[in-house]
Amino acid sequence: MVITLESYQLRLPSFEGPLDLLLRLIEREQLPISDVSLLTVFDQFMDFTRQLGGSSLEASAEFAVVAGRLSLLKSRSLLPRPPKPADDEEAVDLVRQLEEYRMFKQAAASLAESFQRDEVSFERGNSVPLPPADRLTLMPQRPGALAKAVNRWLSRRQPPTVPLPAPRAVSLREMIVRMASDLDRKRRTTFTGFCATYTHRQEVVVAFLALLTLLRRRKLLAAQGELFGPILLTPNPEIETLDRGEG
Amino acid sequence: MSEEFNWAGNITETGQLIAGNIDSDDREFDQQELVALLEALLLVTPEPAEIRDLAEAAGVSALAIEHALGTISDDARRGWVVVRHGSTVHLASAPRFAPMVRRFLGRDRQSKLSGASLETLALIAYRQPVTRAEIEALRGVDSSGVLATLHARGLIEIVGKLQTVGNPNQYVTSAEFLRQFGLTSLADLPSLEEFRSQSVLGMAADANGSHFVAS
Repeated sequence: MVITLESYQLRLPSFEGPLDLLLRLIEREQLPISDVSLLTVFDQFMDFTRQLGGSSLEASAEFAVVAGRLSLLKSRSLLPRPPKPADDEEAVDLVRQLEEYRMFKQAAASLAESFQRDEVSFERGNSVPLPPADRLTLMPQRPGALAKAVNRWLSRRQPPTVPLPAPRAVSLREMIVRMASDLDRKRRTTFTGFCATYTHRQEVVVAFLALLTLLRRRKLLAAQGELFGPILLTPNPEIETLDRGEG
Repeated sequence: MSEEFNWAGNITETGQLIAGNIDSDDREFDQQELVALLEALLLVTPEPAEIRDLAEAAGVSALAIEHALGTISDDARRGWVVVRHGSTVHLASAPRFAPMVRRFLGRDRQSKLSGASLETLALIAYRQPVTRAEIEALRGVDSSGVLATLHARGLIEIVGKLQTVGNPNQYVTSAEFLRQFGLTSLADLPSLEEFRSQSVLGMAADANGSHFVAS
């Protein structure tokens, strides 16, 4: 009878090794772990090891080791020997190993139970997952919808932005000419009125400098009724035309 | 000038006074306050903290820290536990809330461990540090594959090498092992003697005069 490793696994899916097998055989016989029970299951164990033979060298070697130890025990029990007060050491060793093994199997069962109870602690530093992406799936769309959307965007589009003109740099000389000709024309104005066309602070400053210059040259008269009040500008009657007389 | 001098002198005096209190007696430190301080320290570090470092930060002995950690562990109403692994401690969620925490984190349950894995894991948990040869001697079967699986799942770690022929790796259980099985330390594991006495008692019941009962 040829038994492959696969069929062995199929028939005996949960054996974790020769000790596991031996323990199961003993427990199936409902015998205590002792030399007697070991010998009772000897034939079954040997049968199993023979079936296993050759299918997997590594696996069968492990079973063969235990089988060898069992064979030794069996042969000793069959052969007449002088009675020894001390117990058979080999049997005691195997029993002790089985005892230990059974103990850890029960510890393993206890671990399995605790795993089953699902009492897991979680370490710190986990992040909560983002909502699943499928909440954001699109409704079915027709291809034309995209073109429509583009057109809608184009029609709504803002007119191109026009950059504000940079303030023109007005020279003092130019400003003096402007102020003089303005006053020539109007005969009477206020500084604020003159500056109405000048929005930039720098222009207002230059305009004021022009006012001071024209004052210094005695080409106009300036009067201010009160502090921070409007500055009234009039041409100096002593001079006919302000516009000339430059320099 | 003299004012500045006095001011500096007071600081030194106070500093000495504080240091003197800590050195003379740990118990001077209010126990409740120490527990609260430990909570603060453990809260700010996501990594496991060395007990030695906690003691230094708190200005008390490692023994006082152990005592305070015991106070925290005794309070079962908390939503978190202090997990002890080696000489370190860290905060983790309370085991009883595992299903809710898992849902919150969007995690799946870990797949079950095979019988061979559990056997080996139990062996390492109770006998650590342990080498592969020692595991195989007890299980009577090659265990390299199982060890690789346990290592890949982060349940065991290599703590060092035994100073014998071949320098075999020594395996211990990890902090992840403690968390996976809802333990706050290895001391939480049921005593191995429990399992031993069970099997011996079971055996004695149907021993029928067997003379090979391991004592």
